[in-house]
Amino acid sequence: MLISNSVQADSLYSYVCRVLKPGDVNNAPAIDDYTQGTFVRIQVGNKSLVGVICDEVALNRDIGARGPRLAGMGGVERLSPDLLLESGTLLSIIALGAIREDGTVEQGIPTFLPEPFSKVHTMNDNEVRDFHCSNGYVEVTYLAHMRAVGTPLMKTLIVRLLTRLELMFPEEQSKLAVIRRQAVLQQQGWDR
Amino acid sequence: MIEKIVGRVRGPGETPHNFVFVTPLVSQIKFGEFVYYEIEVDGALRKVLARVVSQEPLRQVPDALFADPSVNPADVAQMQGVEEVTGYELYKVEAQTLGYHDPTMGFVNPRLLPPSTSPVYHASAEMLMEALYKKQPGAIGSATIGSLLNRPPEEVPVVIDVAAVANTHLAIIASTGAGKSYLAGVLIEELMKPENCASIVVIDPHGEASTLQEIANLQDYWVPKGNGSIYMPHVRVVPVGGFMTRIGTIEMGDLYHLLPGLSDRMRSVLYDAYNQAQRRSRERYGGDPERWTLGELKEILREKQEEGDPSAGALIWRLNRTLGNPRLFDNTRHSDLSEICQPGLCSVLRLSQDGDGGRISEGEQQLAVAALLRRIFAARMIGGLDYPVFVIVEEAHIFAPFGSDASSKSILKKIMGEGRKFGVGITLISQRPGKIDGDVLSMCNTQFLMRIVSPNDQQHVAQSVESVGRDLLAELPALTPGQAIIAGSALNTPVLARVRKRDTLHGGASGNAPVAWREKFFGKRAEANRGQGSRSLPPPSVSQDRLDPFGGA
Repeated sequence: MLISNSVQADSLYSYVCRVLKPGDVNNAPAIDDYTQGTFVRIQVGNKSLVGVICDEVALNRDIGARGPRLAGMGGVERLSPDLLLESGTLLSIIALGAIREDGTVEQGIPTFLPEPFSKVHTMNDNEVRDFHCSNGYVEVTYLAHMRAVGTPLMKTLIVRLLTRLELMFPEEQSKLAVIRRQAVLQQQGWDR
Repeated sequence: MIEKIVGRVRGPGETPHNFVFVTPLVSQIKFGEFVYYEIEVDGALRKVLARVVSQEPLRQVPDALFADPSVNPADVAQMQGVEEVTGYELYKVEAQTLGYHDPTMGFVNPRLLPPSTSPVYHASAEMLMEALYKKQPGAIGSATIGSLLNRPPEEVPVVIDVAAVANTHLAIIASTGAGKSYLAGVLIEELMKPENCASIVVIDPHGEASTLQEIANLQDYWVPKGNGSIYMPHVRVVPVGGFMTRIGTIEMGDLYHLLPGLSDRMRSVLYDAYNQAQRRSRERYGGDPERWTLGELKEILREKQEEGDPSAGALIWRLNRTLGNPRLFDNTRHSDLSEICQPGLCSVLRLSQDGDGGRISEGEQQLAVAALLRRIFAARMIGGLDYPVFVIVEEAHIFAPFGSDASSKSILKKIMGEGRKFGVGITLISQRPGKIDGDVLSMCNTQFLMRIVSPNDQQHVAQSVESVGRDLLAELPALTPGQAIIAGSALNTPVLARVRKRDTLHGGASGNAPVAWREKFFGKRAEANRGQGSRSLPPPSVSQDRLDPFGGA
C-alpha cells in the first residue's frame, strides 16, 4: 500500500516521510496502516530501500496560534485549506537494507539515499519474509545499527520487530526468542 | 622451517618468569602446551621454550546468546550477521618460561621476558624432542613411556633417561584405577628392551605382574648378541617359596618389628638369645654369624625359660606364632641372588599367597623385602653383583609406611640415600602417597604422577615432590586413566604424558564383580551361551504348573 510519496533523508539510514491524506490519493492510508514497526519499501529506480517505521510526528501549524480563528473546525476545509495542507503526519523511518535490481537483499545500512519524491509502500508478509530469508535462513543483521542508535524508542522497536518475526518464522522462533530476550534486557537496562 | 605464530606477547605475567600473550587460536593451545619466543641473548638469537599455565577469555560470545540451551549460540549469532562466532574470541594465555636449550647446560633461563607484541610460536615436535629429553627414542638408556598429552598421539614421544631413574629413584603415584600398574608394566617393558637389558626385581604383593612373562615372546625385543646367540628378555615369576632367604639373616631390629608390643624385659631376653645364637653360629661356621636357625634360637630361649625366666616362654610362643611356618625364610636354604638378578631378567616376587593359598602377613612381607634389599645392597657394596639392580616395589606404603615402623623402611631409606653410589635403583608404586614415609617419597627424584583425587594425598605429593610446579599439580584430579605428569631428573622439564599401549597384557585390571558372581552362579558356559551384552536373565526354575496355572497352551 502506498503511504507516502515524499521523503526526506537525514542520513543513509534515517528518513522522514509525510503520510498521504485523503485528497492526495483515492485510497489514503488509515492510522493502522503506518504504525510503529511497519516494514516499508521505498522505490529508488530499479532498486528498493527497505525500512521500518520507528516514530511518528503529528504536524499542526495551529499549535501556538494566539489569534481568533474565523472559521470553526467544521468549515476549515473551505475557509482555511492551507491549514489542512500544512498539517499532517510525518513518519520517521530507519533503513534496514536494500533490494538490488536482481532481487538480492543486502541487510544493514544502505549505500544510497531515497530520492525526495520516492514512493513509500508498506510491505506485505511475503515481502517481509523474502527480505529476511534471502540467504536460505532468517537474518536480522540490521539489528546491529539499530542497537547502535541506542534510543529508548529504538530498543522498544527492536523488541516489537522480533516479536513479529517470531510469529512470521515459527521454525526459527527459538533462535529469534533468544535475541528478543537479549533485546528486552537491553531495553530494561539490565544487560551490559 | 617457519613455525606457526600462535599469538603476540602482551606483557609480563603474574610471576617474574611468566609472560602473557593474546591469541584467537585457543583451540590449538591446550593447557601445558609448549610455545616459544625468540630473543637475543649474549649476541645470539635463542628460542626460549615456555609452557602454557593458564588461559583466560578476553572476548567471547555474549552470555545472552546462551539463554536457550537447545539453541546453538553460533546460529543466533549467524542470524545477526556474525559468521563463525568463535572466530571473534580472544584469549589471554599465560606461559611460564622454561628457557632455551643448551646441549651442555640443559635449560638456561635467559631472565629476559619477550618484548611486547613479539610473536609467540608453536613449538615443533623436533624442537620439543631436542629440548625436553635427555635421550632420544631408541637410544641406549632410553625408555619411551608414551607421548605428549597436548599433542596428537605419537607426535612427540615422551622419553626418559633410564640411568637417571636407576640412580636417583622413581615414584609412581596414582589413585586406584588410574593406571599405575599399567604404567609400571610399560616401564618394565622399556627396561627389558635391548637398549637397556635391565636387571629388575619386582616386589609384587598382589600378583598382578605375571602377564609380563609374555615379553619373552615379543620378537621386537630380540636382538642378536653378536656371538651367534640372541638377546631375549625374560620375566620370571617367583612364587612364595621360590626364593628363600636364610632365617639367620634376620636382624635384631627385624625381630622387634616382627614381634610388636614386646616389654622391655622381653626385648632384653630376645636380644641376649639372638646374640647367643649368632655367637654359636660363628663358632660353628667359621665366623659366619648368619647360619643360626629358628630352632636354635628357640632352644636358647627354652634354656632361659628353664632358668626361670617367664619372658622366654612368651617369646617362644610369639616366635612360633609369627615364624612357626615361615614361607619366605628357611633355616638352611639361601637362594643365590643371581637367580633373580640378571641383566635381561625381570623377577617378579609374588608375595600375595603361598602355594596353599595361605595369606602372607604384611609383617612377613616387610621382613622378606628388608632381607632381600639388604642382600642386594650388600652384594653391590662388597661384591657379588657386578651390575646395577632396579627394584620395583608395588604397594610401597606397606614397605615404607608413614608414621609407623616397618623392617623394610630403614633399608629402603638407606638404599635411596646411598644407592646411587652402588647402583641400586628403587621405584615406589602406591595409590596412597599420604601413607608413604615423606623422606622416602622425597628421595625419588623422578615422579610419574597420575590421577589423585584425595586432597590429603595431593597435599602430600605437593610437599614431597619438588620438581612439579603448582600449575601441573592442579591437574592431578583432572587426569584420566592413562595420563600422567612425568617430572624430575629423568627429563629436562615436567611434561603431561599419555601412556603408550602395553606390548604385553595388563594383569592388574579391576575385576567385574557382577560378571564374576554370575559366572559362579550359572557357570561359565551358561554365561558364554548367553552372549555378550545380552540383558536377558535366565528363566526362573519353577514348575510348569506355576508357569501355566490354567493348563492352557
